[in-house]
Amino acid sequence: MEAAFARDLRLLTNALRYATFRFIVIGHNRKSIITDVTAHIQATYPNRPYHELRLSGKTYREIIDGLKGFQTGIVVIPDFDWLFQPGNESVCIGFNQRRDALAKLPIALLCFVEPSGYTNLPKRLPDWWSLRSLDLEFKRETTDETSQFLPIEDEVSSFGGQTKEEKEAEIERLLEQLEGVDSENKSLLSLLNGQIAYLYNALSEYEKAKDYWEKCLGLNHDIGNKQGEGTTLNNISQIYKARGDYETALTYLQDSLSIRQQIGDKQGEGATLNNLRIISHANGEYETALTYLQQSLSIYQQIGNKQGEGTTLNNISQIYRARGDYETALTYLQQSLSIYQQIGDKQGEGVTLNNISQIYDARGDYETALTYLQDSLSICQQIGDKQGEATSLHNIGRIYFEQSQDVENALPLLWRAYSIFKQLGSPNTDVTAEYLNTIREQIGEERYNQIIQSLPQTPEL
Amino acid sequence: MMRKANRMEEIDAAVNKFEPVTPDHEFYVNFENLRGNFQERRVMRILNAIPKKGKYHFDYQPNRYNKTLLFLAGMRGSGKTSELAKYCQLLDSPDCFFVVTCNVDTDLDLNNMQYMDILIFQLEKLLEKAQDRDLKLDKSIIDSLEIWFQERVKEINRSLKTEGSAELEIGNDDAFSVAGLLGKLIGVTGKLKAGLSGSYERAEAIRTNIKNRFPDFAVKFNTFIEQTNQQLRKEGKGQEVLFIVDGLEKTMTAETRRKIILDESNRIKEIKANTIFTLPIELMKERVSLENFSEVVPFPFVKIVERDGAVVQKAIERFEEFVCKRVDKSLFDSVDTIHLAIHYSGGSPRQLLRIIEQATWELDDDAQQITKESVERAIDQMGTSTARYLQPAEFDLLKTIKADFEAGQSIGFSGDIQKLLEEGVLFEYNDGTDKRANPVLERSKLYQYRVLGQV
Repeated sequence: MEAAFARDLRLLTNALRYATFRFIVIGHNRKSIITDVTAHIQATYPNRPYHELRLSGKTYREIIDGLKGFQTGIVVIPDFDWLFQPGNESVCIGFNQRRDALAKLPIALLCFVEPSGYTNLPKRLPDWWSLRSLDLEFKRETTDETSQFLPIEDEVSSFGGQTKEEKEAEIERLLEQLEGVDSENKSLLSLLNGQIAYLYNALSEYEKAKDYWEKCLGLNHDIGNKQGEGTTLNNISQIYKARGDYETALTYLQDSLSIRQQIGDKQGEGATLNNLRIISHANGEYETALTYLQQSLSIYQQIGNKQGEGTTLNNISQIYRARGDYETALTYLQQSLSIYQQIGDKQGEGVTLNNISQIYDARGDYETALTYLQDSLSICQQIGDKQGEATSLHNIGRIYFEQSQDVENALPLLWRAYSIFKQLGSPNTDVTAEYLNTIREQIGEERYNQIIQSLPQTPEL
Repeated sequence: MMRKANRMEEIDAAVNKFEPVTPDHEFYVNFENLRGNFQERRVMRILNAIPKKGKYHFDYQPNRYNKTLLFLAGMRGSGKTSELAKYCQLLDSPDCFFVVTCNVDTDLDLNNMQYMDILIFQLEKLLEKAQDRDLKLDKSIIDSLEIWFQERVKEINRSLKTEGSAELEIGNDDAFSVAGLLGKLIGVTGKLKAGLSGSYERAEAIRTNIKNRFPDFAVKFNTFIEQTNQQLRKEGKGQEVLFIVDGLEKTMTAETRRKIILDESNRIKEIKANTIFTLPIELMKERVSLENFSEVVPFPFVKIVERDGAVVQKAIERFEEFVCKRVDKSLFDSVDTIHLAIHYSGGSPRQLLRIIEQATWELDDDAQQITKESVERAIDQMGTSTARYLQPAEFDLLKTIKADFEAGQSIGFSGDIQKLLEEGVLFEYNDGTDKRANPVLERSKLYQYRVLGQV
């Protein structure tokens, strides 16, 4: 672990030196901290019994019985702050009252708490709090590597159907239409070029998309279509963002914002502010990202754009998630979910359910994460959102494999996700392919092929 | 079909107030230049339609990036529909516009209408007219738009299925489809429009889906309009599309109307097509916000009396023509009787017809003419019934308005004034700042007592 944690780790190690009762509260902002601290303790005291107890969904009796059952050793409780969630008040009271009975046992409780749950401890568990052996706080700035957990794109263009073939056919049609346009009709040329660019972007053909958007930009400039210019600058920025060139993306976004503010295009301003946060987020400037998002939220609320409000709340949650403040992230996600349900935006609902599952996944509560992912999958299938469906399948498959090595269930799901991504021409195709290769390496070629060949669709990897 | 009344028993049908007349109808009378400050040529100028040799021309080259959104704001019964029909006749030509008239009151559900409904309706009407005029749009254009709508229909159907509602049942080989390329697309838009007027769940599913895709919808819509414009010019069938959307003020509640125009202004701004909307009178107070993205032209009543009390003779003559085209002059006991009815119409063609209709009801079955006495009784009756529903505070407001009017001051909008305008208690003239009490109300004893202070 990082050098900055050395002192706290030493304190923790010393506190666990003797096999006696300990109640240790550890504040953390990343799931990786739980893993790293636990590994450190296990490595330091390899002969001590080690247990993990999750509180989520349990009654106080089940918690007490679980702890009593251990008799001795070190007990890691990764989701201790689950006790402070609304609705768990009676569990808290019951648990608090059993303090003395448990304090007689030679067990050391390592209770992990997220930043938002920390202040609840003295209020909700006063008896335990007064008996605490040690409280530590580990904070890590870098986000946990969760690249395999795929987010669902919430701004998918509806042009040209869903599959790669359908999109390519639409590009053909639009190119044919372009040929028939009078060269002076710049307004129509701009509309057609813009649609082609969206389609290439959806197919991850970023160079082509950029070419068409640049044509579109020039045309809008010629005809003085400021609104179109603002939109196109915003779109071009997304190409640079996809390439990881955040500096150029930022320049385009700032130009877009300036035009949109100048002409009073509130809707566009909200969208550009939302995109600006991505740049700040990527640079780790969370406060700046939050400022952009709050401005965007305020604009959407002002103009009554519920969909924009839902998207922005979702994006705010991602900043808190990145900070490791999962509770606040969940609050924003619940607000977003409620808005999407209210306006009947099923796609937004699917995206939000997927994002909620990501929070539970980050907390290590895989059971709840799976429940949300199943809900998200069901919605994506209902509305025919193939991209969302494949993303949910990938995420479910990943949890099956990583948490229980359940390859029999994981592989078909990941394979289906891969087939859909490939059919859509999605950039996620490579992510899923890479993950499937990792599984192949782990389980061996023979077993992998055996499972894959039993599946209905077998596209080439 | 309404016909001129030459006998007493024919009057009732001839004064049907609810059937608007178009310029080609025998009852049509042109009230041009008689609506105070309102000038037809101003509307034409806003639309960039220039008169040349007695016909209007639209030069698309300088105006191609300059789409007009115009709100024509007038009170009920002021003759907006007839005026719009006149514009259609004047502007629908190869050298000018391809005018697409959309009467929302006859084709959409007035109780439950949103801006999305109107847009889909506009598209459907455009497709129908393009088909009627045999506009040869390229297959790839139609396919692009049709595929986009088919995708939405699939999404809507999935959503309805989830909710357990009946589906839209739109397929490629849909039985409702009309033959031909455009017909196929009309089949889809027609079904969507029918769905919007159907069950609440179905209408909501359609609106929500398209609203959630609105930026893409706007691009598809705007592209289609531009492509249609290009084809119209190529085939010499018009220079650009002009939508005339009439009947918005007939939607059931002021709240619905406000939602359509103001709450949806962000979406309205994204649609790039020349459009004239009739603006419900109560939204005139929002004129400043509307003028951020559109032109607003008030369409007042015909002015028959100037501020100083002088009679506008030309207006009286035109109204006399208006009456006599419907009811033969011989069916009145004198021209003075016609003039009396005109005076109390306050410049509202609809109120004038109502006075004549009620005057006939005042007569015995065997009467041969409408008499001055019957007109007087009808006016008194209408005045009393209007006054009966007014609150003391409203009389006080009328008193203030009268004093302001006599002092030559402009009268603006307020919630209370708006209510009086909507109820036809107040009439407005010129640009809307000139407001007076309905003349029939002035005849009532209550008005005379509460406003004029007469016992």
